[in-house]
Amino acid sequence: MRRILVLFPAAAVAAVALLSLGVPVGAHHSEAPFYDSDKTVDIRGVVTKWVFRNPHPFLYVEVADEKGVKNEWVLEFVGPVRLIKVGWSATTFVPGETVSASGHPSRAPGTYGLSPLKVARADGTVIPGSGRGGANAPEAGRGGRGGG
Amino acid sequence: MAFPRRLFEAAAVAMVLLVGSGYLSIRLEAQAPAGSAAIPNLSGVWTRGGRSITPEQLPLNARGIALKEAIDESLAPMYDCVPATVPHILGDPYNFSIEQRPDRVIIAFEKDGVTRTVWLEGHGHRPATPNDYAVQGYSTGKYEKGQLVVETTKYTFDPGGLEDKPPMVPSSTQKKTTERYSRDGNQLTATVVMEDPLIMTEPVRFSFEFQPTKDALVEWPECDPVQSRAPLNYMPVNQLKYGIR
Repeated sequence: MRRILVLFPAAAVAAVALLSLGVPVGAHHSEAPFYDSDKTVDIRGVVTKWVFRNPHPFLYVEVADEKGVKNEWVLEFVGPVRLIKVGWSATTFVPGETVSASGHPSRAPGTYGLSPLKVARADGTVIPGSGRGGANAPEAGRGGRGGG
Repeated sequence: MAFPRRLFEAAAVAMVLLVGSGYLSIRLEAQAPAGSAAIPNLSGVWTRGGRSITPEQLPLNARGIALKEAIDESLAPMYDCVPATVPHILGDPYNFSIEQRPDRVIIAFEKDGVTRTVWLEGHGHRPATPNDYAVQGYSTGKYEKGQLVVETTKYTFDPGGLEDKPPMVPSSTQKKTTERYSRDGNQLTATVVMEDPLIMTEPVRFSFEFQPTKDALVEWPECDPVQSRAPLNYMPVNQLKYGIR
């Protein structure tokens, strides 16, 4: 109980600070209903399709599991306007190229959606802006945050 | 000298008619350049910067509480590429531009590629009609005490019109927003009073601050309605309120 009492003022101060800084909260939609942030998976495969459109771009990647069974994973990124501002376009990925990614998997059984934390080229180079949050979010290099 | 007197009387009557009908104010307002004391210079591209204030809780009436409970994620208009509306469109981290013309103000948003036209009063624009119901409503405006005041009515029923993030709260066709844009140096402040007497017991107030940016607006890539609904497939069926997507 004492710990709660200690934490409450700190949380209140943090909340006020966030509001006063004008940090955008929860823009567009939250990924929580769709992706399990308690899990992280790593994939590596071949790009089959790149759809750079609103509301969110999707990257389709064919991935073979340990048994050789292929599944098409679908990576959902942040809104394309935010990505355009850091240099992304309809040619950021091309079919046939190999990529690797880590991220939170979709919640529904039998689906292969991924909310990426990062996506890398075949040589391991992480693509800036490829995370929907954290260190690789589009605004991470500019000290900002955002949703959508 | 009878003729000049009648001419003077006619001129006086004409003056009264012109003022009364608003035509004289058209001329006066049109001559006042943006940036004068009466008309603030709001033109340019603006980016989020500063404080934002949003109501902690909407004062819903019984109907509003029931509607909030009934609306589920699948009904979110964004899954059909339907754009956000005021005030929520001002709260997302995208830039927007303001263009002040003599008889109207154009507000263009990166978010959802929305362009709004605010018809300034006193310029002969027709009043809103029932045919003006639209997602973004029908906006009229005026300059008052150094602020641009925008009143918008004729919003269509919107599942996320009062709150567009889960849990959503819909807005009725009685939704009305009053935006006030003011500038202090390099800070643009937009306050929004949102009311909907069919769903809320009292109006609520939002406030957003913006800074000028030299960046041009990024063109909004086309929205794909099929792709837009794709994330809903990632929700387990047992987590869907009605068991249907």
